Amino acid sequence: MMKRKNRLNTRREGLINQFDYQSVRFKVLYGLLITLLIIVVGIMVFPPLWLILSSFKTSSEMYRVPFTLLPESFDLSKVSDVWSMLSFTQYYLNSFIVTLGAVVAAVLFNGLLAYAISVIKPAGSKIVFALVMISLMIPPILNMGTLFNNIVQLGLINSHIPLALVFGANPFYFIIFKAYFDRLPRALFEAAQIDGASKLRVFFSIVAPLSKPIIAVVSIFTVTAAWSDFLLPYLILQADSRQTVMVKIYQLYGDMGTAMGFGPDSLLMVMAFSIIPPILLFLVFQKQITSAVATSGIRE
Amino acid sequence: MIASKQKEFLQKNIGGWLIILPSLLLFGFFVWGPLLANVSLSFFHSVGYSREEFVGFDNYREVFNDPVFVKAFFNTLKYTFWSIVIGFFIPILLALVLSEVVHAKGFFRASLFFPNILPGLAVVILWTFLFDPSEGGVFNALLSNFGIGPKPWLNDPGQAIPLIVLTLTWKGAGATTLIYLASIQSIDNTYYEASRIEGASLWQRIRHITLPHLYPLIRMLFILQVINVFQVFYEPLVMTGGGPDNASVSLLQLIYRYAFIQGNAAKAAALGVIVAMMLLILTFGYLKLSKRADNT
Amino acid sequence: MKKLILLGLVLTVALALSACGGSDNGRIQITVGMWPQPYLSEDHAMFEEWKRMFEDDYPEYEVIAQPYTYSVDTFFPMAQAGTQPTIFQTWFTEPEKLIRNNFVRSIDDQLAELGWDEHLDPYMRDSLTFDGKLYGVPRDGYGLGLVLNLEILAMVGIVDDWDGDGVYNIYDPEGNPRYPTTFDELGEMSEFISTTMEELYEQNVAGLILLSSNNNGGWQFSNIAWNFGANLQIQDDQGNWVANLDDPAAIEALEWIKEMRWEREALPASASLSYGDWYNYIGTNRAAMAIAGNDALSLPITNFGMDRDNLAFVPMPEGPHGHQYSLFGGTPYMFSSHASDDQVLGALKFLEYMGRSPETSDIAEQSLRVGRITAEAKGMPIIPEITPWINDDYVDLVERIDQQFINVNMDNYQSFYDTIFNIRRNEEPYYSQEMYEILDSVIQQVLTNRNANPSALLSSANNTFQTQYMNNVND
Repeated sequence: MMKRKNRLNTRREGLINQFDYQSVRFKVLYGLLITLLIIVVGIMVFPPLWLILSSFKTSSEMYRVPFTLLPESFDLSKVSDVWSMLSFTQYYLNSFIVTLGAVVAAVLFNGLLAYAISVIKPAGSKIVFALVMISLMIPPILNMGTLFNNIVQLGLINSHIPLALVFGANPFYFIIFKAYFDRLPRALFEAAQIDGASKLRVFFSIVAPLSKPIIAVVSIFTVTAAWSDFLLPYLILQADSRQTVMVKIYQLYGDMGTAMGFGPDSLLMVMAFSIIPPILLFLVFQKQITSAVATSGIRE
Repeated sequence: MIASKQKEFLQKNIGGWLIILPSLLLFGFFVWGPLLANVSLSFFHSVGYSREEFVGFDNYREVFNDPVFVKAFFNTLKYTFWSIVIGFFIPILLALVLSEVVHAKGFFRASLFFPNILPGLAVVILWTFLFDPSEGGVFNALLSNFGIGPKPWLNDPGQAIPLIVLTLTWKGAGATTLIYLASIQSIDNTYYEASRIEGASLWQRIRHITLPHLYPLIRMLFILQVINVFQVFYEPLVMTGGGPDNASVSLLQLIYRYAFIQGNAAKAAALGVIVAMMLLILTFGYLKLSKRADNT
Repeated sequence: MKKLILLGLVLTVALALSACGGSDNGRIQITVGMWPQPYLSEDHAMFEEWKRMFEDDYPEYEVIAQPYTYSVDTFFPMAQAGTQPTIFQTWFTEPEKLIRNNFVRSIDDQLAELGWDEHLDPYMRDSLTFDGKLYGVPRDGYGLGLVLNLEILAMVGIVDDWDGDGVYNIYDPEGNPRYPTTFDELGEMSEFISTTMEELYEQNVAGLILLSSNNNGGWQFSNIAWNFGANLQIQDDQGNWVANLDDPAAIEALEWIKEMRWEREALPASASLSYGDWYNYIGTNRAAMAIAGNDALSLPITNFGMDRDNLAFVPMPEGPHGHQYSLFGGTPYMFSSHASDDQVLGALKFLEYMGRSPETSDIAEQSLRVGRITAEAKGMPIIPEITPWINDDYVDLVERIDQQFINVNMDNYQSFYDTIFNIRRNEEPYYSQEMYEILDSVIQQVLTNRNANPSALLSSANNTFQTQYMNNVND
């Protein structure tokens, strides 16, 4: 359906259509629009490009005038030097564990909650719905102190568990799921009812398979959000061996230069490490991600 | 028959609540519990997080008397102002442009969105490097090619907030653009055709067809943007430390300072409640206004 | 979808497992917070060796590494969670705050039991004593002084290699110091350097770098203000401590900074310079002089590849009214409030294995050597430390070892060590970090606004500091 429409679009419908383009004025305008977009793309791509290229420079080369984009040499051994100097594998691993756990938590708990409220509708579930909607207006980060204290009370300092589970209580993901489930035909559930299937089984055997696209959307959002998560991990991951990539980066940014042989150029290298997984993810799922954002109307 | 109804009732209510329960616990632990604890804590004198003595509104008074709070409050207004000036119109414009382009559309769309997937912390550190005020800072070195002397960038109290907003916009504009784009593309083509036949100019078409169609979305994204601005936190934390002279300190950053640097949990709680009240007023004000707009 | 449940289960188990760990084998556990980060491999190996030797000698103890670099924004979360290490390293400005919040404990009895209490430098002991109780032992002391980048000073003709030994001299052949000894000279020389570097080499070099953020601005400013004759906290008639940031001499000091920035144009353009910036600027030849402590002189060399012969370190200049102080502090080791007497005792004994105790045993001597050999291997300059222990045998031992390892031209450092014990001064007693934070703002305004009014700024800062903090002191 979408495909067809796109093809039609090449016939130029919309605000300016093919008849308009017969005039020179609109041809020039179109040229200008393309130029504008190329400039904007340049602005979007330059900073990360500078980051990756400059991570190969030495620190004095970084601050050199006149400006050069390319480093004097691409010493690839610097990549492995910085990586192994910081034993970065550990932080990567921690970030992956948290991210994976976050995806499972986000899909399972927000999904089940949305399913119960949208489909099962047990008595009193409207209250839960209202409470979730209120938390949409008051971001949990405002209560960072008492949240931190909650985690301390359960002895979960240095644990990855709360960092993953926190994504299971996300009103945005809940709404995405609920909006989707609301549109599923009720007949589906009634049929299962007659078979006597339990509510939980209906979720896993009927709802979830039908919801693959929306599960993918929530998963993608969660992956980028969990990978980038900073404040809570910074507060509770106090032991070095437990820290995630972001926590480590902030720490290194703080004592950039105070640690022996760790200058701003090495920090750039570490930052490059941190942006590469999301970039790879984006390259692979680019279409799904951009359309997910457009349809769900939620950023990040 | 009755038995099966009863079974269905049990399944629906007991089963339903059992399914809700785990999620409920999570929301309680991560969202509602801390919120309630925060409200309660804000009325106590505390040592760490233990409530020692009920003090009424003392913590609130302390917050209001803190000159940094006053700064942070007005800074939030400045953040809002600049995010409207810089961050609000660009996505609408880009969406309009993008909707008309047929060449390499997918590439443009992906490139505009690309910064959005980068981790926020890495982005702000990266831009701090770009804004380095020394002569060898990236932008300063680039400017020196044109004979322009080094700029202080984030060091100028008047520029810190607009530059932080610029960074935020760089990261976020692409996503907003895509949302507008989706809406623009849902406009029925026949409207345009009709107005074209009537001889409407390009600007007239935008004004009378595209913008009215986008208006509800614009209104919603506007209020979302304002609410988001209230949550600016690690951008000033990393880029300026809230400086120079607290010229860019944000409300959330101040909560963080109270709670984790000064170790004053109750004061942090009070400020958290204050900001929550501000957000509630904003949201309900918006809902009321949009209701009125819809009725007319 | 069974797979999803399975995956969830597996992950939960994996997360749960990874959260556990740690064993209780009946030994007394000491967590050591000053353990180096694993990527500092040489230091790490050194600590592992010390741990091995210590556990051999005291099998009842288990040493647990908990690499932790103190910072104000990580310690509170850690202490609120009760996970601060048994022994950790902090800054000299911090003890008062940590004690106030009950995060650390006193160690008088344990120090007495080891017989170390009488060996402690009384001056440093005072700075860690609160309500008559001692709360820590210093690792070493630092005093602020002036760091000179001799390469730049030579480029503008201030210093030269008069004796021809390949290292610049900071005294001319008549023996007169070529470095600034008063704040007037410091101002003139900074301006001269900035203008000359611009004219001769078209390079933008700050004559002096002053810090301005992360509390470093206030930290440096308090020393500058003292030298102009100010006292930033004083006792009033009733003996109450009050803020005195708007001391006329402090205003004069701030005027001096303003003049340095806007009239002499001798400071960097940035007003958000934090600790890492002074040695970045010095090490990359973007500044000629900086204010720093003698314990940090290796930083521009190890981090920015500066030639160690191009560095000199001289006393803080004298103020216009004859005041001369060097802000004196250091790095104390402090002890968690959760630590038992036995744990404190063990942690103190571990200091002997690090060469940081007054003991002069073979193990201590060996550690002192290993520390210097490691430093040498890393290309660090080896400069005398200010040790907290003053028992003769320890002082002799350290001096004897230093003789073998010092690898800089001591002529360019000696004046600092000759004066430091006469001019050292402890930080202001109350809420020093908070005071620095407020002063940071003042400095930033002076550095960003050429029309700033130093007197008004300091009086409003004084007001804030008094009402927000100093009012709590005399409760």
